[in-house]
Amino acid sequence: MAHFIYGVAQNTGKGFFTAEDRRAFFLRGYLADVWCIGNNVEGARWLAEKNGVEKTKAEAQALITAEVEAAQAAWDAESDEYKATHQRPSDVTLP
Amino acid sequence: MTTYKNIHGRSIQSLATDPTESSAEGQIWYNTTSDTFKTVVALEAWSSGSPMITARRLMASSSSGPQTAALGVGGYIDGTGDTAITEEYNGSGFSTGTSINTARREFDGAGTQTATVVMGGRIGSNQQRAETEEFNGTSWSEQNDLNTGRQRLSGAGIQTAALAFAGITDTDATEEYNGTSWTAANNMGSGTYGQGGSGTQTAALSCGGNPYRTTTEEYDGTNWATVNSLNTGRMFLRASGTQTTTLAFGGKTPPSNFSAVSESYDGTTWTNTPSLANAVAEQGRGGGNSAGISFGGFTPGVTSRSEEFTRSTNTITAAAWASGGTMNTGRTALGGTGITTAALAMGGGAPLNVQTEEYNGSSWTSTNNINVGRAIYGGAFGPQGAAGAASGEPTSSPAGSSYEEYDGSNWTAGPSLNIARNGGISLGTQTAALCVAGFTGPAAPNSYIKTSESWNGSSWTSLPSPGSDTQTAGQGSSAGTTAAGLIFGRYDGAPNYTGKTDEYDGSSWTVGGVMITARYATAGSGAQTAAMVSQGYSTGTLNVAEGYDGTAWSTRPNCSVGKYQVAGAGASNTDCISFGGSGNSTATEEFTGETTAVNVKTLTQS
Repeated sequence: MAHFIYGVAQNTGKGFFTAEDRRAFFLRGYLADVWCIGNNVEGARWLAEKNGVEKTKAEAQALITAEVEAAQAAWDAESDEYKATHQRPSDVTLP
Repeated sequence: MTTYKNIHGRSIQSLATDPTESSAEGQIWYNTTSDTFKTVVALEAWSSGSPMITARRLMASSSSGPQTAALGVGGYIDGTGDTAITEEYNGSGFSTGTSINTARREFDGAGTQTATVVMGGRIGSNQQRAETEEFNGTSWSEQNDLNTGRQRLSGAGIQTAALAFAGITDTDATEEYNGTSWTAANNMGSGTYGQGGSGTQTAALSCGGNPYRTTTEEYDGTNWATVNSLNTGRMFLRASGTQTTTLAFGGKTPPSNFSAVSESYDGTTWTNTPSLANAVAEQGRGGGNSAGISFGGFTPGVTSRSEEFTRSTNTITAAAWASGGTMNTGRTALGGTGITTAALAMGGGAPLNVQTEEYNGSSWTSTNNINVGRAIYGGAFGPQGAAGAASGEPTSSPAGSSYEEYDGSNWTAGPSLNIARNGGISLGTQTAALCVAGFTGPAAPNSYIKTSESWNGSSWTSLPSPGSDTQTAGQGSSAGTTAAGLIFGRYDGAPNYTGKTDEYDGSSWTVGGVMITARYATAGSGAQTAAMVSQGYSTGTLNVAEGYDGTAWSTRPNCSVGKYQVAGAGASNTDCISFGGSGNSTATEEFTGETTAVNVKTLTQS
């Protein structure tokens, strides 16, 4: 069984994920409202309760990569002075 | 039989019910009811917090306030530039504070939410600034500059005994502030910038920093000394707390990755805590290693999100919206009143609706129809079993004056209002109510009704015009009673929606705090000092919610669905519902405020 499930869900603020959620399953947020969720009953229930849309890992990675590439393009368009003090965003790879 | 006391020399308490106080942490007792040994243990985690109003990074934060009184000052909004906006966090949500005089980024602060000093930073293309400003809880004022201008520095201490250290380009410089002027102090052991800073002027802590350092230094009021390192080298992280209770979180790790790592310092060693859910750098900070907050920052892309760290023997259930019962008849522009376990929905349209439904906290039941079908908007008031429905928009005309009362079974027509209106905002009971403003016809400036009417149980009496623009529009929401009432948000023609709030004391109106998101056609409920507004319409359909504390509005978790012309009911901003609304919605959402309970664990016996 895969360790993680992937999904897209909009963070609605306080209560979106609780301390109890964090203890019940792995949860890591990424760009494009992508979430990497521990693959257990509690994790799957959380994604469903948040009206999340489950994605394959490839689909989720594509959403993140698009955001990262946009951020990288924005960085590339910045001034040399900006680049001197801000590093180019790195690629993000889902676990 | 060997007993626990025989082995350890101490007996264990026998209790019929578990302790409810967190002071029971570490104790073991025998629960005679469940026949189990139990204890209270502390748990820690980062959980989602309410979002900031304006996403940004590189802001200054107060250094000495608790998690529930954080301050985010200025910062940088990518694509826009530096900002002067200040936001205050009250433990539930962010509200707009007083802007600083000089918009800037890459600076920091020291002090509390109501007594802060911010220093240094970058102002547009002007780098290594020295400007200092103080906040007294109401306004910002310019103060004496740092001796050494710099950016990406850290602040610690309080407003009258602050510390500024490190930063570009004088990376090891330290200065002390006495509430009036800055004085150079001994340099740090090694220079850096973009580090985490915490503590006081005489017991400060610096951790991490450029380039991805693990270095930690303690300041004793005179000298800096290197102590045990962070477990994970990072820069552009934030830290908060005292020197011996610091929480360091987020930042960037090589080669340029955003970090979710969180570590706690006890005065001697760093220990990894559960990580943030979202990796972030250049964010705001507050609190300490038992209750901290991270807000805003860069992910990449500026974010408004916040996360709260809690180490507690209490299990905290965060405030949240949850799905409630489905209405039997979906409808928009309905009237709603009552409390969460005894709410009432009536009317609505278009198409015009006469149905009445009662909510018992879990399901809706249809009862006898209202006599005059109409779009009621905010014209409903009173408890479920003794409600009133005033004015509205019937089929026969754009505005109605009819009034009806509900006795828990049937609606009975009562005396009409003096002025026909739709979108009137009502509150009160069947013996003391108020219907405020509204429109005489389709909303337009010349149709606004400035007057209100009061109901004494037998007749409506026109009240003099308040003489301000605050009651000149309708489709707002209400909370409270005629002795302590509140109306908020409405359609006013300029610019068609507003976040204005007005408080009523039984005889006169005063202006209250402005809603963060201007809007109309919202769900509203609660009391004058504990009101809730959710959803509504501005330039589009909204799902955002806010709570009012009698002074200011602050953000709450968003509803799952955005809609407008929606109804609300509830006694407070921690116990309320929204229902119906645009698209002839049948959905109900229930809001429950944050609750806490001692985290009792049953010990397994082997």
